[in-house]
Amino acid sequence: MEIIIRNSSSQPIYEQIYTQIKDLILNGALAEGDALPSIRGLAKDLRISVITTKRAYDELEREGFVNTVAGKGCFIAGANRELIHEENLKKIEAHMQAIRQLAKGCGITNEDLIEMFRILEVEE
Amino acid sequence: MKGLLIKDICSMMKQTKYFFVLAVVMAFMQNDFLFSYIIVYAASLPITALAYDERAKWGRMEETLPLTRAQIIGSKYMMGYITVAVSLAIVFCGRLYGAMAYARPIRMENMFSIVITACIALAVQAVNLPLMFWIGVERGRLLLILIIVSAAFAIVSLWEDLEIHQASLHFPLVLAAAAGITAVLNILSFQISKRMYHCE
Amino acid sequence: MNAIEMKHVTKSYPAFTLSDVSLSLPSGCILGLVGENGAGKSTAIRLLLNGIARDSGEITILGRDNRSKEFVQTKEEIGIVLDEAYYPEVLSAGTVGKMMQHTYKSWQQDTFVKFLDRFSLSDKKQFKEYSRGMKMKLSIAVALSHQPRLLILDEATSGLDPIVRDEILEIFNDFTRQEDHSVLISSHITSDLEKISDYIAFLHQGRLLFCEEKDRLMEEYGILQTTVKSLSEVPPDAIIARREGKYATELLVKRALLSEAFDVERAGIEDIMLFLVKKEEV
Repeated sequence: MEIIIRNSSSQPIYEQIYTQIKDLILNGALAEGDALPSIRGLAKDLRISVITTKRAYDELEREGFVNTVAGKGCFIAGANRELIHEENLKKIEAHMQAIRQLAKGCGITNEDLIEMFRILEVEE
Repeated sequence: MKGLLIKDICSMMKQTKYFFVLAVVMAFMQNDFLFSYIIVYAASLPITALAYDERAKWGRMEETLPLTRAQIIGSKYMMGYITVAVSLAIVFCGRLYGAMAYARPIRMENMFSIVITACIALAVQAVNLPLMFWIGVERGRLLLILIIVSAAFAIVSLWEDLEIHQASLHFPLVLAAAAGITAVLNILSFQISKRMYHCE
Repeated sequence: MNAIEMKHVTKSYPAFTLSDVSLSLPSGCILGLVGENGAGKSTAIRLLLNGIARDSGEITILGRDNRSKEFVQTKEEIGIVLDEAYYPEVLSAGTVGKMMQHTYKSWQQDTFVKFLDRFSLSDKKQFKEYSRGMKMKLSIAVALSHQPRLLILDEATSGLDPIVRDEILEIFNDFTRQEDHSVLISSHITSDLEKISDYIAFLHQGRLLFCEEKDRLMEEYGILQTTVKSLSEVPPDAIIARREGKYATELLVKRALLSEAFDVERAGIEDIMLFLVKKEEV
């Protein structure tokens, strides 16, 4: 498991941890049932605040990505893949909305957009 | 308290060595003045220890240790009792050595004067310690010398008195009185010291 | 539970007053106490240990009033490092160990020996030959060798070189891996405290300007560089303090009250301190 904390980043530290663990779950590096390091252990290893780490874990739990078992620690929750999938769909939808609005404003048609998207794909 | 005593004894290694060298020299010389001197010297060691503490600002350290005021104060009194007891033992051994090697008889008055000297030494300690806890050894140096000098005068004139009245004195009674007064002085002194120490 | 709790503590001297200080250190956390020299950090720490008596207020340490008779037993569980180690100069680390063994009931000689080894302190060398770094290390070794639950460190890292400082900070950081271990560390080196603290308390001229969670401080405050012209665009509520320069004005701002359009930079503890002190002076 790799987590990189950037003190210079404008993103709050708890958010950095939250996002990175979420991404690790998303790309399969962390699977259902995997144990997360203890809050205190992670905080001390990363040399960051215990409170901040706890906040990140709380956030992950609230979003249903991890379960806390009292006395045992934090584990990756089961239903999270679906959850993430849904969340990503929502995100894509939101981005598409934005694209549509921008396109409308300067008269770009749906066909033009699809063409642009294809070109992007080819370039990759 | 044991910890503090260890600290004091170790930090005064120089004085302790001097103490023993003196004891050995004394045993050979069989000088009465040296016998009294070693007891008075022994009783002054707690003040020296206090001066060392002061110089190192040890008081700041003591605040952090799990020790009560009574233990901190008590360690200095205890040190005085121990050093005086050791010096008494040395003096007695010296006398005994004198009796055997030089055929010097051990007379009752000699023993008596040794114990009285120890009582006076401890009484002086009882006067000194609260003062030193209160104003500090550095600032109280002059006062300290004054007390010791006047105590020395008191001892000398006391001896003269004793010479005169020797025949009529009841030794055990005088001894008991001296020991009693010294004990009461020390108890009072300890209570006062506890109040004096670090009044901020 | 709070490892340390100070409520409205006041102590007056002829030339200096520590007034109405309230702060708490939750168990398991590290609280950094910052402030300029003479701000009252050492006074606060002596008050905590009841080395000096407070005029008013309440102080509870590890759940016990520090004026109570039983506080002596609580001291068994507190490891303390003062701004300087005040050992008699002829003592060696060996004698210090012997002495502490007869002072602390829970003294662990093998732990002490391990620390001496780790810090490369010989147990024979006399204290007067120690460098400042060595003195600090000896104090730290003593503080950690009697199974403390709370460490109170007064300027424990000042005057040490960066490498030693980092080594020592790491020890304190490791100490709090255990959930019931807490640390109060005072320093005027803010970068050290920024590295390891969970909470930051800021003393200035005997008054507590704030005691807050460190990361919240970082999130809450930011620095914004503006020109005189664009200063009017910044919402006045968001400006906490300002520093006028010749070419630009620097603002300490509340991030939450500014839109994303403003390019707010991260504010370090030192920036926040300097701005707040400036503001006090105005």
